[in-house]
Amino acid sequence: MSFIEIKDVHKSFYQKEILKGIDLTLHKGEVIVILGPSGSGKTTFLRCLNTLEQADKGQIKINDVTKDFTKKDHRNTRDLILKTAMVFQGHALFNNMTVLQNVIEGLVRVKKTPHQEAVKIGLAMLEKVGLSDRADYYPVQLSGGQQQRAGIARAMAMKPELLLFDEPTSALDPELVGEVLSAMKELAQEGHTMIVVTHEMQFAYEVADRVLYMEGGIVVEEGTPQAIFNTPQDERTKKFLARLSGKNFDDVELVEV
Amino acid sequence: MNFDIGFIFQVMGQIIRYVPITIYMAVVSLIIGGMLGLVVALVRYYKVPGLSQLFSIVITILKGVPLILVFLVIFLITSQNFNHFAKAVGWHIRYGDLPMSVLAIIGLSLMATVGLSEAFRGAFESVKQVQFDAARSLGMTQLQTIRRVLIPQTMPVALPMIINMFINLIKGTAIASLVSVVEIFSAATQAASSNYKYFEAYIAAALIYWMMTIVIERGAVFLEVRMDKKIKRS
Repeated sequence: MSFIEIKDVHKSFYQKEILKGIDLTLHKGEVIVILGPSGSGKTTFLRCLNTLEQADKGQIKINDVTKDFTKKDHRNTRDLILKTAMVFQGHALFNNMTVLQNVIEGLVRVKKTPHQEAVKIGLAMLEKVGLSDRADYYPVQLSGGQQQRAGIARAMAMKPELLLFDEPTSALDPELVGEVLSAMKELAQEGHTMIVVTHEMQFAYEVADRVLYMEGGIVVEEGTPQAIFNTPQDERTKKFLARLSGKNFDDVELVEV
Repeated sequence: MNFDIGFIFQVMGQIIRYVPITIYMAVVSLIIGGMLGLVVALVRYYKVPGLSQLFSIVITILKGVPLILVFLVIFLITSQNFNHFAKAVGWHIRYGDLPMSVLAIIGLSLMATVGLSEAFRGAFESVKQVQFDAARSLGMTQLQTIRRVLIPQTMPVALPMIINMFINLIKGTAIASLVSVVEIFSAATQAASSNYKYFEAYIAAALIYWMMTIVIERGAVFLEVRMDKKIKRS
């Protein structure tokens, strides 16, 4: 039995169907990277998984928690939220708290962890992302990359079973991307189950166990990174990768025309 | 008319006794108005159905009316109905026993509620939305999010407007003289009534108001500097 099962997720905004039924199963420790053009629904999909967006249909099962998105059940929703943690595009740290306070906020307020213990966990998480010396800084005093790493530490502190990354490097200056990706890579190697929405192809190639290509609210193609990047089967995947990498898959088409 | 500088100081000496009552009325109104304003702003920010529309209508009505009218309306309503009401509820106080400063505080609190609810609403908008997503993804409840994230970040932004409201309330207390509260302004008027040196008396009152606002503004600058350290890049 799979560790995480996501079934038939649908979501519409203003009568426009953004997700047209997404299914996904993950093994424990698997790292999935979702690629796709903007507007393909990948961020919406991620947000549906931890109920930041309420999906119109579908269900998710993580370990022992099953959540049907159509049913409103606070306890159930909370259980799901506690199984997942999300890292956002940026500016998601609480500006009124120091880095350490940010990291332990969920532990203290939600999990009711005793303060001392929470601090211990928090510092360990910050150590992991290389921010031990920034524990008492406020978010505005950090670089974008440091803020994102602190965001990762905050997500990790909750000990989630599924980590969601919503384009965590897309708002960063190019030279800051590397530090965030390497922190994520480390998590992947430690065996955390992750779903990552990103445009970082190198990261997808090196770290992902499986790559999903989404477009128009459906999963167009999925496979190992090698398969997706080297021998994409679907026309849409080919075009997207061509646009992105400059590798010219269109050559074939030109010949045909 | 010859100008009597000595009388200014004499009046100032007399009316400085009423600084505490003025500050008392302003501070109590600021606190009540701040709390009510916060509730109104939260209701409107989260678009609580029903209440949100109701508050927005009430605020619009109150915003469009001069403070002096609000005072007189409160005075008229309470003076005619309070005794019946107290009897019905079983209170053993009569209208005449009520300190008139209570009426002033009601009026000033309304003014503060209107002004501060708008100030808070504006300040709420300055808090980055994604932080609410982050709070939710951590499992924090809406109340926790409001208390731990929204309000702490709102206060430094709203502080200049809160201080401004405090100063306006101090000046607004002058209108309380209408409902026979003895405060700085009415005390100055009374002091002059014996010798008709109104000009000097009013200058004395102005000087007292000035001094109070200067002290408040200095204090505000001090507070702002302390708060800014957290929020702004040093």
